[in-house]
Amino acid sequence: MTVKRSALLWMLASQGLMLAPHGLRMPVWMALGCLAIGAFTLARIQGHVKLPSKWVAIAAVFLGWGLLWQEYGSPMAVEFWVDLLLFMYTAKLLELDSKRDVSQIMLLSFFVAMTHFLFDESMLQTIMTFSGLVMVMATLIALHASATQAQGRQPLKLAGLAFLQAVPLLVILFVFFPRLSPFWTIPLERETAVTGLSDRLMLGDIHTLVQSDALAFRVNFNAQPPASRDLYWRTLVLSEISDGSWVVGSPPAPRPNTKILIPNEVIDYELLSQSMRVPFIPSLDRVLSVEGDSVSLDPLGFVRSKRVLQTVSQFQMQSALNALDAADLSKVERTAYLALPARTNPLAQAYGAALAERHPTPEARIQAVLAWYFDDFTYTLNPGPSEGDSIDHFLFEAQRGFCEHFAASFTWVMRAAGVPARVVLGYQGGAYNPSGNYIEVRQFDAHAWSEVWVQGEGWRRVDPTAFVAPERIEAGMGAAAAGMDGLMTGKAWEYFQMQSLGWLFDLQLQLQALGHLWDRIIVNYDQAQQLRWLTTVWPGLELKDLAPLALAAFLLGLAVITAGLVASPFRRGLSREARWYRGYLNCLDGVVPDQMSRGSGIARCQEIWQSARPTEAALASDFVEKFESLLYQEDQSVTPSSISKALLVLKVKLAWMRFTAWR
Amino acid sequence: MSWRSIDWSQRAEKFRTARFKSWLDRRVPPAQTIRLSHRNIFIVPTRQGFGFVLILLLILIAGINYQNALAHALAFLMLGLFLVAMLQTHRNLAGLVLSQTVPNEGVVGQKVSVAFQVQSEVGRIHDGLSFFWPTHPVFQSFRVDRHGATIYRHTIPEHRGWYQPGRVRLETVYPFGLFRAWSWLDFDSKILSYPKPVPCDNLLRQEDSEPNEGLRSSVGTDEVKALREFQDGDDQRHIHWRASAKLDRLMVKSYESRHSVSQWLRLEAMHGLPMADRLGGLVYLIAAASERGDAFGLDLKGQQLPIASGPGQERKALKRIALFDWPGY
Repeated sequence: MTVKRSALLWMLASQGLMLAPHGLRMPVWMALGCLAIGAFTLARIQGHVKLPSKWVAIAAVFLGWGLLWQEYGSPMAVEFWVDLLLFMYTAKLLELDSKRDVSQIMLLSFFVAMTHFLFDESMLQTIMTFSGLVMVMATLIALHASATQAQGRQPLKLAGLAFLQAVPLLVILFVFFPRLSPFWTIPLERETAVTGLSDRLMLGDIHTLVQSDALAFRVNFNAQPPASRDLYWRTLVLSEISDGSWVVGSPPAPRPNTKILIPNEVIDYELLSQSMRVPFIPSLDRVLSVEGDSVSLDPLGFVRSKRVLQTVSQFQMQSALNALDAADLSKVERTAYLALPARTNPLAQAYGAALAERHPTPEARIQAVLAWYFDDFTYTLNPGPSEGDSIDHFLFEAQRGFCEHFAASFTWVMRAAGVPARVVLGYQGGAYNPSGNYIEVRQFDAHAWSEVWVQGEGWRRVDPTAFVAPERIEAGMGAAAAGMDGLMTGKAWEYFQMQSLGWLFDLQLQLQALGHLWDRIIVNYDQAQQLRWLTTVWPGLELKDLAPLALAAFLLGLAVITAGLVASPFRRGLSREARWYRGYLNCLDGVVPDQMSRGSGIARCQEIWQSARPTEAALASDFVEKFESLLYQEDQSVTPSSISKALLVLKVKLAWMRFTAWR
Repeated sequence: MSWRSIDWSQRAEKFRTARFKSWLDRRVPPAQTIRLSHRNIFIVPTRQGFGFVLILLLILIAGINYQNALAHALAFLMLGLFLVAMLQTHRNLAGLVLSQTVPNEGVVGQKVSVAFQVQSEVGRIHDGLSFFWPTHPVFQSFRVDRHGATIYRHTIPEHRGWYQPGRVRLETVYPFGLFRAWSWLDFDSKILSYPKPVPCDNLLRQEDSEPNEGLRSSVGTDEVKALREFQDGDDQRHIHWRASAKLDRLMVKSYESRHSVSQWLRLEAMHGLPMADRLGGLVYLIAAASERGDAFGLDLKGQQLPIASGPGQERKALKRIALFDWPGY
């Protein structure tokens, strides 16, 4: 190999750093393969082994492709392409020979860096990726430097310096560069499923969801956040039953002229959602307005996005809490919200019918069922398997269940009793983070409840779980789980265990607050956000002004860096007189033969100039006279500024002369 | 490196067009000392540099398509690094002061060592520099620290007479290999180059080296025949110091070896050789005569150098041959 050993070691180190974030995600065989190739290359650098024949490398590459195809089996998975890139990035080491190969691998590293952000946009990941890139630049320096300069940590220092010089331009462009909408959309799929609510309620779904501690969304309130028991994050409404489970279906649209009576309390909040499985965004009670990238308010009062969120997205919302609705339910709506499939759960149907006979008002029917739940039912995270007609089984045999059981059965019974009802899926509660002043909702906060139609009041939220296990609603999932030790498993349980660890938990809260800030300011910096930020500085700024503004800011930044890098080394440490003299010598270049400019003295030089270009010579001698009288005769009448001015006039004149000669 | 693959001599041909040369002469005029600044430094991205921009654009497109803020940031960082790389590569040449020392003479077709003195005017470390004539590419890089550096490169005179090594290329891709900065330097230097000696001993013997004024004499070796006044070109080892002190003039011992011959070396006499080698033959004969200490005269188609001996005579004769200007030679 013709490449310096130090450069190769830097290369391996930076490649390791660039592959590490994918290490746990990629298939195990591939991780091991990458490690093996790395170890082999290390041995090769140390001189223990030789490069295998190119057929070995070709065989390895084909084997890798085959295995990857076997693994994913679809060219639509993002992971397939990323892993293919990573594999080629590593396999290039098997034909490593020249400086050019090292350069190519290092350029590819930037592409690999981008793939990190497809999976993780956290601050920690960004810091890791950028540190890896410093290492990549250090490799390039070690590659092109002489042996002396490539020693020790020198390349890393120089690369770090270059990074610091590049960061101002990064910041300027990040703030000002106009954010464009996607040119085209590639419907790539994620192999690893995003945890979250799905658009149907099968008994047992939420139960698996609450074992995850994955972040769902975070909310900043403009004022004091409502109490935890009032935080019902409505996400989906399930109004039909299909194959024994509640689904979104296609509910009839309500009359458009429904009016809100007594908007009890209007709150503004900013919701920053992580990626979701369904194109619905959680919101509080009755949403009045929503702003954000391609979201709309559907007729049922839920926030829908055009497509499933792939990245962190931010929404500004306004909601009315405890709003009353004076409108009537239309006939079509009433039919839809009372529909039940025939010949299923006969016991529940019969119970509903009996309820309707016994209690004349819907209010009394609701209270009767809730009282029954309160007396006879148990809230548990481990309800056991359901059999046959699942609602009947739950109501009349098991009587042990989770929020989904209560919501599904309650809604069923209500419909059987002639009260229009629907199931709502969403999240309940959330943890308040005092460091960041926001509420954080995780997947284990997933919840299901019911909404029933009460004439003169509209859709009223009824949460049967609150009657069976009030601690779940009052204090959140952690408190509910603590009462049932060991029943909750997985990540969520570890998360709750953390809470008992005092300062460590506080530290975690601080880190989460920092992460939230990162998500709000950096990750979610889109067109809307950009305009919002810039208009606070320049009110009245429009979208079309952005491009020239970006260009101007960029050029300004570039000029500052250029001045810092190019101009200063010539000037640094030079006295004013030396600067003038240097400037004068620069003017001489190309006018007077070179040997005259040095050593022969200013006067002799002046003579030559006089004969070559008399017009400029007059300007030059003006400068020389002033310069000499200040320097040697200490003539007080000559001010430094007049010398600078004389030099400037000379420079401008020469520049003009060159320009005309060039034309 | 990508530029290894380029055939430099071909590329040099391409750039040797008269227009390019005259443009370059105006842009970077020949000088004994050259200071590198933005006026005489050229800079262009390397192939890796263009690759870097391509990857930057791909990342930006991916960032826009996936609405990924950090991919945007990465692309902007790369643009920043690209521009910083340009400035740093330029800076690696800017502020260098260079001069060249060439030997006074050389032989056509034989390596001549040339020394370049490189100083950093700004007292910075300049790394990864390389210096070469396009016709003799050498890709060994060097480094200049605040004490400066002297770099030796060789050139091969291509023709007899005043040979100008031509513009030398100083280039660097340091620090990142994304940009190549270079300058074409002309130090206004020339080397007096002699024809390559062509052995022609046999030729000399056959030829009647006509005895001149019966000077052919045989005296015992190492025997001082007489003292005479010092002339330019006399060997300093032959100065008779005692006599010089007495006479207050430099006196030299005049030796005459037994085989000492004085002869005329004539271009016309070399008719046994092809035209191109005749001057080379004369160089050979001069060197041989000089080694023996013989006196000789040179006759180049009537341009005569009178008979004399010693290193001065040899130098004069060689210079005549190097600069001999006659159609057909």
